[in-house]
Amino acid sequence: MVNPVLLIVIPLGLAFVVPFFGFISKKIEKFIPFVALFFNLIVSLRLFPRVLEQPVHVSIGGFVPPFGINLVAGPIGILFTVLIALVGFLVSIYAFDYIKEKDQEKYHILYLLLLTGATGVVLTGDIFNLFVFFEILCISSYSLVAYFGDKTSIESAVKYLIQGALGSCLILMGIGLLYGQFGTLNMADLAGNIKSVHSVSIFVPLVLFITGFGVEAAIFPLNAWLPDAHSSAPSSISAVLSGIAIEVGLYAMIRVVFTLFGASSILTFLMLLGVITLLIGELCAFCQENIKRMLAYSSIGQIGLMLFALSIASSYGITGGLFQLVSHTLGKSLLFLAAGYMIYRSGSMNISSFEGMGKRMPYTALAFTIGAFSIVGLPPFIGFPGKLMIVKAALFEQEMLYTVLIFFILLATVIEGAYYFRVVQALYFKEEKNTQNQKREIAPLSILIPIFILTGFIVVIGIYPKLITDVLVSSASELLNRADYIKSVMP
Amino acid sequence: MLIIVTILVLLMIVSAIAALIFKDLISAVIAACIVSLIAAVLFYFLQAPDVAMAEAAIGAALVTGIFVIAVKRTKRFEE
Amino acid sequence: MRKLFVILLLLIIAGGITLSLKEIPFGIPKTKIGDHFINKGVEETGSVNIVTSVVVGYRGFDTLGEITVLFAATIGLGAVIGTFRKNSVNREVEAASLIVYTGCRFLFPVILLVGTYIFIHGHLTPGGGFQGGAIIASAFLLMYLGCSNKRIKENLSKTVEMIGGLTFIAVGIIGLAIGQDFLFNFLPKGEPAELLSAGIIPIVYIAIGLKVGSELAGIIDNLIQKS
Repeated sequence: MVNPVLLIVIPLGLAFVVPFFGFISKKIEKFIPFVALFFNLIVSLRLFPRVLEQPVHVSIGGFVPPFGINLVAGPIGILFTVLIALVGFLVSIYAFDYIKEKDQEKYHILYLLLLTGATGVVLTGDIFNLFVFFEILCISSYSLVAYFGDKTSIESAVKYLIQGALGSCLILMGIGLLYGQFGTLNMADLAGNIKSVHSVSIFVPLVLFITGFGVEAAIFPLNAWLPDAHSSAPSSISAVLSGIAIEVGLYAMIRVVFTLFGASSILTFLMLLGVITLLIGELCAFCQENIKRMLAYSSIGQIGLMLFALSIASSYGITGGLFQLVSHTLGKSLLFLAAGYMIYRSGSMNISSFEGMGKRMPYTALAFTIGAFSIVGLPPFIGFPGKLMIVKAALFEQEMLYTVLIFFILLATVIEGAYYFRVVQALYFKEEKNTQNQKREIAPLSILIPIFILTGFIVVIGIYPKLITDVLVSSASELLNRADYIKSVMP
Repeated sequence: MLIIVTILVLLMIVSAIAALIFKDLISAVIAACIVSLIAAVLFYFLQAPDVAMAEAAIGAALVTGIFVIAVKRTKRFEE
Repeated sequence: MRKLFVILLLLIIAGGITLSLKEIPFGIPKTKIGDHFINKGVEETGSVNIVTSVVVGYRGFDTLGEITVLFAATIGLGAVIGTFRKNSVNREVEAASLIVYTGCRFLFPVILLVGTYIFIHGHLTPGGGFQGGAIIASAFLLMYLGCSNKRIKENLSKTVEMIGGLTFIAVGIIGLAIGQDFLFNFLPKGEPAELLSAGIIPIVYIAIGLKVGSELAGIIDNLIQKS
């Protein structure tokens, strides 16, 4: 059995070594993220069957927890690791041809560090270690948003940096308050000592954590950075930010709320916040002309839907939320990758400049359409079982509040359908105004391969959702059974 | 002992407020450097020499140097 | 109006943190892990400086994460600054006088020596990799300010950074390869308070000192080159 520490350490070591390969030849630098993420994918898939029976616990440095750091590779950790490795691997193939100018070595180092940070957040069992890897993720993404160097990119990156740094300060204050009270930093040990959320000294760290992680997860009042950052970044980075970074922020928030605090009284508040985020995301996306801003607002909406599903706190609800998370990761990355190539060909980001692209770039436009239908939730694709599970989970609880919120969710889905169909209509049913470049251009291979593989996953899992629902059900039970988690780490 | 600590803390607060009020940005940067230095001395009084050394080297020397380079690239006086 | 709202929000946050801090008494005997570190730190890790035994021994993985954060910040700064055009207005930089120039050239190796001493003796005296690295970087800052025509070779600083980072990870992986955990202390612990004691801790601290020093010097170099 491979030690799960290697999932974090090998990409980190390869990120340190990239300049060495740069001394040998500048052309082989772009293959290093490819190799590292392929390794991660293989190792995490091999760990999968073993983790589903029993979570793997690894301690570091030879010291037992709580005196040392430990890693907990449970079903939800390995699920996230597989997703991160898969999407990262495909986007690194996309970046072979997409990133051509400027200083490529720094792009590849920062990209690999972003994915290492994300893998570290989902695998760790110690709250300060989670903060450190969360910082690696955030700082790499600040620099990657500003990668192109023009004025709008730098302004978006500075906005993201200031809000993200404030969020990190709040998380650190929360960790400090918890450590001062209980004298330990291990998540299982803290969870064993926290009895109820109602005293002030436990409530304040909970609020600080939700606000701090909420900045990265883009929950309603804290998401002002997201439209600018995701639309000014290079398209491969937008795919990774929308597909991985905000989901990892949501994971950290959910892990703290469910496992660390066991707070069931704040879940109603989180549910309302999720629905407000969903409505705001979808309504703002409806008015956008710039395609990347539209996709960014759609990400905000989907995160709101996921937060709603995850706060229903029944096994069915969390399974639905995690299914929606998988479908959003695959679908939104596909949309950003396809849109990125279409923007590169047409030269502008407006939706009106995509008219007629269905004939010029058939494969890319088809992939964009499939991704759009999947996010809206149409039947043969992966978005449909996810949304169905969420609606059924909420109606199963049979409370009046949930039914009202389901009405708002369906309204938001209708709005979402409207703006995605507008883009599909422009792609296929409008004629191109500029009749100079009428020839059919097929995209280069390194851009088509990731698009095809992601489309394949969306179609296959959409037709047989049973392929992944077992994994999701065990992940849901890991999140809900706080006592089992505590007992397995600290006997 | 307590008197020295009180004087140092008051000096830190005065200097932090001065960093906000000064219009000449170089003077504001120097006031921020004084806050870091006094923090380093207070860390030493609280019996944490490692943290005091790190705060003095990074907060007082390197961060001030970076701020001065930044002010040199933009404008010196704030209206 | 907006300022009033911001002040109100800050007062609420400050009030919440104060109410929560009232439950935590200051200076009581340490609970749980603090107690264990103070009592058993020397015999379990071998270093006399307890802060070092916590930073590199018990929580070495966090230290690896922290130097990665610094690495990401340095590379990010280099990536963003690399896109600026160099200022085309050639400002006349007045060369420093002979006393300043000679003084800087004289002080530079002395400050490097102090920094190196601090990180080599990290397990014996207060200090360690981060502090030593920051002092080395401030020596480079002094050289840039005093003698304005000397520069660091970029390839040299990249190589030093790479060696530092790889040494840390290699030491950890050797611990994994001999059958124990990552970052296991596999060298003999020796006598406490000797220079060659505490297993892998001096090696790790030398790697951290070199890496942090070259990273911070790289930040200063990037900023001064482009302004």
